[in-house]
Formats: sequence, C-alpha cells, structure tokens
Amino acid sequence: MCPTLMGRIHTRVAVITLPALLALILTLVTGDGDWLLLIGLYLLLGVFLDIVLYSWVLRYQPPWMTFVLAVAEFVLLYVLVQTLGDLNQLTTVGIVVFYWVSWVLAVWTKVAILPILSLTYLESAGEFRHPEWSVPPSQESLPIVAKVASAHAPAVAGAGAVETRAHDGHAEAAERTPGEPLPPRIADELDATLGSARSPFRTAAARRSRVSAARSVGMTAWCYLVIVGTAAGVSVYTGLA
Amino acid sequence: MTTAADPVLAGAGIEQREPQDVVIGVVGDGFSALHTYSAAVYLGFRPDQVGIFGTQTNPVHAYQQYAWNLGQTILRSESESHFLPADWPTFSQIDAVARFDPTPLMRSTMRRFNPGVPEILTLADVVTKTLGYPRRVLGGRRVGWVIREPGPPRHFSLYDEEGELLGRCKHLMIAIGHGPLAFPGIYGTARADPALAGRIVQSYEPKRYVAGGHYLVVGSGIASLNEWVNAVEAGATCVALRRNPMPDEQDLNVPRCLFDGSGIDAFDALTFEERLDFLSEVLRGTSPTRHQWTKRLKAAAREGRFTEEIGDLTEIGPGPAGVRARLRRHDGSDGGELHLTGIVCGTGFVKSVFALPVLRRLIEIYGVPVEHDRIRLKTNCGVPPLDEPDSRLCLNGLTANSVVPNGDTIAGTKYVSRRFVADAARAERLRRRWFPGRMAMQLHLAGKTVRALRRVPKTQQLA
Repeated sequence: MCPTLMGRIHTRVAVITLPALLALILTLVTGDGDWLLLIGLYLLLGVFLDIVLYSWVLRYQPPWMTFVLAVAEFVLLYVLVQTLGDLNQLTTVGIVVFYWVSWVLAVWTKVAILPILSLTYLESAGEFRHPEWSVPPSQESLPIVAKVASAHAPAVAGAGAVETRAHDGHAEAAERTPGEPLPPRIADELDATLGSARSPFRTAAARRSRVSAARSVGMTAWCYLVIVGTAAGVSVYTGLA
Repeated sequence: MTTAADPVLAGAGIEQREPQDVVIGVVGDGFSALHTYSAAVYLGFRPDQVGIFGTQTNPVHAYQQYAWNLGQTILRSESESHFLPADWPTFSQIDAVARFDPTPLMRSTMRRFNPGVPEILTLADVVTKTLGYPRRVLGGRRVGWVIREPGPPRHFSLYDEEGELLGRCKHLMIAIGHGPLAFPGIYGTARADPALAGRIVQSYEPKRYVAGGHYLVVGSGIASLNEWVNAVEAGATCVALRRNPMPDEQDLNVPRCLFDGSGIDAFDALTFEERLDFLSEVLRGTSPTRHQWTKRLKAAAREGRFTEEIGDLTEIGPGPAGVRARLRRHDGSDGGELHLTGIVCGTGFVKSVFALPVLRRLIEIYGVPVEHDRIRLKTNCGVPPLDEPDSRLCLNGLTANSVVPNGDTIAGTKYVSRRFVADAARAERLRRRWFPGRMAMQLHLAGKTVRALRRVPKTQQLA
C-alpha cells in the first residue's frame, strides 16, 4: 500500500477503537486510568510519527514494514512512559502485554474489518472514501487551447476509421468502408432516438478540488476530533495542561 | 430469433428468455462482468436487477484459454487481486487456511506471493456459482449495437449483430476486453503467407514446442518470458528478441503506487493528453523478476539453448528449418540469417477502439470523441456524450486505462466496477446491505473457497 498522510491518520484512528475499548475495560476493572492514558499516548505518538516521519519516508509501505514499525513504536512508547513517570502503577510486563495485545487488535481491525466497513479502503491509500471517482467529470482539467486535428488523427464519423478483419485467426488493420449497413431495426431505432440523444457534452465550471472528491469529510472530522480530544485528555491526566 | 434448440446456446448453458429490462447491464462476459455483478450483489442489488450480456456463463473462460496457451501457472497480480466482492480475506490468507500452511502469508508479507492460476480460477468458480452469476447471463449472443433511448427514464437498448433486441438496461458498462491479437508489421505479413502456416503464432495462441527445435520469441513482457521458459523446458533452443532495449523491471503493469487511490488521484488530475503521454511511457513491455525462471534460463544459456538479441527482423520467409529470417540489431548492424522452427509473437493485442465493433459503432453513431485510437473518456470512465448521472455508460478494462492506468488488471477492473455500481446505487437510491450482511457474505464465500482449494494441487511460486 502507498498510504497518504490522510490515509495514515484515518487508519490510525480507526484501528485504535478496539484497543481503546480494551483499555476502558481494564480501567473499569482495575480502577486505574493509566490504561486509558497509555492508549492515548500510543495514539498521539503514532499520529505524530505519521505526520513528521512516515508520510515522508515511507511512500510505499510493504506489509512486513508494519511489524518493524510496531517494534520501533513500542520502544518509543516505553521511553515516553518512563519519561513521563506518571504510569508507575503499571508494571513493565503489563505495559508489554497490553501493547502487543493492542497491536494485534489494531492489525486485525486494519486487515479484516476496515476493508468490509469501507469497500474501497485498500485501494484508497488507507483512507475512508466514498466509492466515488477521484475527479468528477465536472472538475476535469480541460486544455486551454483547442487542439487542431493532426493529419494522422483517425477520422471518426463517416470515413476511413480503422477496423480489424479476421484473417486466418489473426487481425490485420484495414481501411473501413464508410457507411456500414445498419440492420433495419437499428436504423428504425436510430431514426426514433438519435435527435434526442445528441446532447452536447457539458463541462460544468465547478472549481477543481485539490483533493480527491471521494474523500470522506466526516471521517476526517472524526479523526481530528479524536486526536484533539485525546491530546486534551492526556494533558489533563498528566497535569501538563 | 435464436431458439432454445440453438446448439451454440445449449452448449453455453444460457437459458433462452424474452429480452429483459435490468438496472445494471454489462456488455461483455469476462472479469469485469464478474466484478460488477459481485459488487452489485454485495452492495445490495438483487441478482435479477443485473444482466450480463454475453455468450459465456464462465467469466474466466477467455482468461483460462489464454493462460493455458501461454503456459502460465501463476498470476502476475498479488494477493489482494481476487474475485471476492471485498478485499478481505486476501488470497494468501485463504490459501494459507486451506492448506494449513503459513508460507503464502510469509511470502505475501514480503510481496513474493502470486496466486496460482488453478487456485484463482477455483475462487472465481466459487464466487460465480455461489452468487448465481450464470443465471444472469442473458441472451447468449454477442452485443453488436448499443442504442441510447431517451426514456423516460433514460436507458440503453442492446441488440445483437443482426439487430435483434437482447435486453435493456438503465446503467451500462461495456467491458469487452482486449482487441484481437496483434501481429505488428512484418509478422502480420509473414503470417498471411501460406508457406509459413502455423509457424508464426501469438503467445496467447495454442502451440507446441518440439525438442531440438529453434524458436524466436518476440517481445519482453511477461508473455514473452513465459514463452522463453516454455521453449527451453521443452528442450528447444530459444532466441529472445527484444525490440525495446531498456525494458523496465517492474512486477506490475504500472508503477505500484498507481494502484492506490493516491496514484490514481494524481493520474486523473492530469489532462487527457498528459495521461496518454504518461501511459505511453509506463506501459512498455515490462519484465518481472521470477527467480525460478531465471535459474532455468541461465541453465539453458550455459547449454547454448538460450540467447538474447536486441533489434527486429527485417525479412521472414520459408526456409529449410521452417522459417528463414534476417535480423537487424538495435545498433544497426546485421545480425545474420536465422533458421527457425517457428516464431512466437509476445506482442499483445490490438489496442485501437476501432478494433472493437460495438465501440466503433457507438463512435460513429453518436460522435463519441476519440484521440489516438482511444475514446476520450470522462474522469468517471463515462463515454461522452451518452453517459449521464441517472443513466451511466461506462467502459472498463484496457479501454478505460486513460482513467485508471491499471485498467486491464484484476485490481483495475475491480476499481472501476465498484465505482460504477456505487454510481448506479446512488442513482437508484439503493438501500445498501449492512455491515453484518457484507461480512457474512465474505466469510461464506471465503469458507467455500477454502474447502474447494483443498482439492486443488498447490502451484509452485516462481518469485
């Protein structure tokens, strides 16, 4: 996959759902909010790396790289936790087990659930998109200068179009005789319908969007909300606010 | 009107019915038809709202024939390129579960997994039969004419070559695949010579190599590579003739990131002319690395049974060994006279839209714009001036690669099919299938494929 920056953020936020639920359950069971703080830090660290590092360094990300990045992120998260010093109630073993269980949940979400949730997830660079075209015809770039037909351009209507003829099983190019005879029913249909079908190709003057028209604005807004909310929550919890 | 007793139709297993009106119609009965049908059913259309207008109830029929002729054993595509409606599970995951063998997963992680041809055909068969695709192949005759009907509602009428109505549809995808096999220049002329009958063939045609024979294979794409290996494995001598001195070593038909939304975004942001220029650059014959093949070719080269030349033939005629040809090398020097048993052309297909009758007629009747032998499609693969949001007319496959650069691959046809079906769903205000239903359908299809794969011998990976 060649994820875009937005694709990385969409994915990062979407896959944190099950680990966050796990953290919530652990918090409710143990009465220790450090589990939620840990998952919040994991999300913020991941988003930070996505923005400042991965999207620049890893244009194409092969599948094996996912595990390498997980190991690197674990080391960074562990250092961050030790630096903050606010998670002392969690044992090292607890952090290790929680991290890798969360990672497995996140990977399974990414691999198995997201492609079903969003039909075009894998082919949309990790973004949640509507199954739409990147550039709607109304936003298509059009040449400024009208093209002058070249001498080599095939004439389309009425004369000289190329067709291929079967010749002992192989095709050869041949000049087509203009005016292919129409079967009577086709001729009748064309008489009845052609006038109304000859509507001009309309190109609306809509402004060209800088990003794919298929992008899900709602998902992007949700991601920003989750990230900002998590940052605020972590700040309050650790007393950094 | 063809009757139920028609032996051709009886053989194809297509029921004879009165022309039907459907919401989504597909002209063509190959990969794209299956992708469109499965995406439509997956999203929530009923099977009877979709009609496939073609002659084959097996959507991999043409591919299967080409693969057999080519001696192809694995796909060039990777694990995500399969025929399930959604992308999970990937083919390597299904294969691993079916064989209780994690190797496909590990290979896929390293991007060294390519689905075997028998395995992917098994998957296609499961999807085809489970979703009831054969019952939705209508008419049993090739569509010759497409007529835009003003309605209301706007729709298309589909007629066979003789002008008999086959059916009508509101949204239409034309996915009729490649044009005929190409024999460029001197190869086409020589093939027409009765004295050379059967000695100049295409890589996609049936053929047999004779041990001790001398063969020349033209081209440097994956079809040619297949033929190099086929020839040396048969005990013959092979001369690989590359007409392009600098083939790319790229394992997919286009650079990998062009398969992703980001790449297609960037591609579609170009003007039509810029896209054509780009395609002409990236769609040269590409030669992937296959370690198993490389080993076999190196061994044959050591035995003097495999050599490479860069250049082209200037004369082809009958000779004592079957074919006598003269080679001119790329640097302009004379490569001498070659005495060959046969020539295999890995030169692909005719790419002109004028080679496809149903498109040629659309172009002539409705003034569809064409440039450089390609229809100037809208950025939603729509055919101007006939395509409308409430009644779409869309191309898929190679004819659509000015919009989706990998349009002639499994991934590319799937990309176009999904968006076309989604357009139809929006136009028809379809009540879509919910997540549990979609997940259940995927798991059901994957489970049946797992069971079916257990009866299929494992294909050796070549990368």
